[in-house]
Amino acid sequence: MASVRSLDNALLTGAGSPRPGFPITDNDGVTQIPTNGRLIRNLIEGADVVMSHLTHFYQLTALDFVDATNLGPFFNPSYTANGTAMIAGTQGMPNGQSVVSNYVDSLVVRRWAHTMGGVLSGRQPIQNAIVSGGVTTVPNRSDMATFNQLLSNIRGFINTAYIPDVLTVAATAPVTLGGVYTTYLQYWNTTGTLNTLSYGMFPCQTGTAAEQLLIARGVCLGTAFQAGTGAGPTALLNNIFEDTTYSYYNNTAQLLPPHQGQTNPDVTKVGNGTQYTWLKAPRYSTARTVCEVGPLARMVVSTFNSACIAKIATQTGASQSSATFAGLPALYSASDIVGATLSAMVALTGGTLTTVNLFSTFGRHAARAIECKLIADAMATWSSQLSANGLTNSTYVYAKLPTKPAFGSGWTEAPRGALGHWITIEKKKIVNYQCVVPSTWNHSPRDANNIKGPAETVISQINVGTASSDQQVVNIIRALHPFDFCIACAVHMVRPDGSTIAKFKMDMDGKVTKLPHDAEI
Amino acid sequence: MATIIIDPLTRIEGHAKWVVEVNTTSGAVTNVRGEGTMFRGFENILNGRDPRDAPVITQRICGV
Repeated sequence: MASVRSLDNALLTGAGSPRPGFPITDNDGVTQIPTNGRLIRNLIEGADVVMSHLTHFYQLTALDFVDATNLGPFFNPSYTANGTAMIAGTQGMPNGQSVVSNYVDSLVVRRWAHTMGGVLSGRQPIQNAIVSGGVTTVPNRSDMATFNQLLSNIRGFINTAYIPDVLTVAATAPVTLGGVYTTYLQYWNTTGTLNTLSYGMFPCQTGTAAEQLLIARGVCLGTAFQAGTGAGPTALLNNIFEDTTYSYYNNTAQLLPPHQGQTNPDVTKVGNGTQYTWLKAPRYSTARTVCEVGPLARMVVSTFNSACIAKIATQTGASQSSATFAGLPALYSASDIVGATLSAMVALTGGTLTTVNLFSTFGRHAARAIECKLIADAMATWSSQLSANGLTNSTYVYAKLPTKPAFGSGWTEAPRGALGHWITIEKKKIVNYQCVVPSTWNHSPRDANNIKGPAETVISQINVGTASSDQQVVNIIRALHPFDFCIACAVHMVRPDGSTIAKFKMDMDGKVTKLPHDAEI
Repeated sequence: MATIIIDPLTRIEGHAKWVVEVNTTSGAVTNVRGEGTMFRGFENILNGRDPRDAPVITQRICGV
């Protein structure tokens, strides 16, 4: 989506080529996209976020908290037991069994979300209907009936399984986390940087430069969550930089804005004792402010920097349990989520919590779960708007490739955080392309000021216990998984004919040396 | 002082390596390094291509 939006901006707004000092304008190509194109994009992207959030909790992190060795379907242990499981793993413990049962059920729910995306985009994943200028699909009433039925099923699962399971695990946590965290508040004390960044997502208006978004765009800094910039993209995007001091790149400068960005890999830096990662270190402003991104960051920005937040009322689901959501109004927006999450956690634990306490393992899980509900509920509203607007209306405006040099920046939110793409086009070809993705923010290395990235900061703040190395590893993983890292997009460079590009030798200590082209291996 | 190396960190999308130094008496973390061990070459692949290829090629970066 960020890539398409960068094209929208390059192709639809006529923005010029970026040069040093050239401002990124507030022109947003999405304002030219027809209402149906905007709504269908929101529905496709929404289905993807819902799918991703469910998968993350159940398949990737829920079993960090459950000793599942005696729970069906994990009898005859395939999941190694350890001394730090929080929910007693016997068949008779309903809470642990609920999480494991829903682990299996959620695989079906995940397929529903995939199907919803496929109905509106032709295929899922790698949708081929989303193009610069809108979408190419025109759904009929049968498509929408299928979509709406699956959405209704998923909203039921989020309300009756996903959110209660997250809260169950959270409420059980302080008691038995390997004896390390004896009080509730201690368990929440992994604040990280407290700075948050969101590019915002889900445009809720057509044809206006002053975007209304379901989830806000902006930065919040420090314990006061002070708004860093206004809602417009100009100030925000002109303050995005990437630092490569500790990364395996050979760029001409340590700190570059993405539209002048470089990605010159340097394998000779692998194992040299200074650089330690392929990930760059994205930072906000030339002061190199470290920012956390993701669902919690989005909810915090939506609450404390809500100038661009959508005013649409989002109907809550019919199957909502009022006991679970004491703090959530019947009509709500993203700016209500922080308060609702705090209320839900206080109701379960009786602790005294403030927003700072949400910067924690369970604050991050809870924000993701309740955001999942917000988006699924909003999708019901968008689906109604789409049908009311007329399914046969235009979904697409033709976006012609510019003959002059053009530049576009596209910004949106991936399920796991702020995602931006920067494209420069000359002679109808790409001459520079840079992606600054959410997991490089959260998993970023140190920068030139030797300041750690958000996840590194969190790990440096926790106490992993002393009982056993198993316990220590599990505690580290419990603090890391809430960031929902996605660094699978590591693409190997190959030539179509399979010929050798270069040869390298890696020593046992990881030191890499480039070899002559004709070297024997 | 003990060094815990989690390599690979699993049940994330992709793999990572985490090196954590722990005070064995208190359990406090004294140093930490999160390493991305794989190169992402999208930027280099896209240079010289039709701009309309970009959304197709980059679409699953970070889940979208």
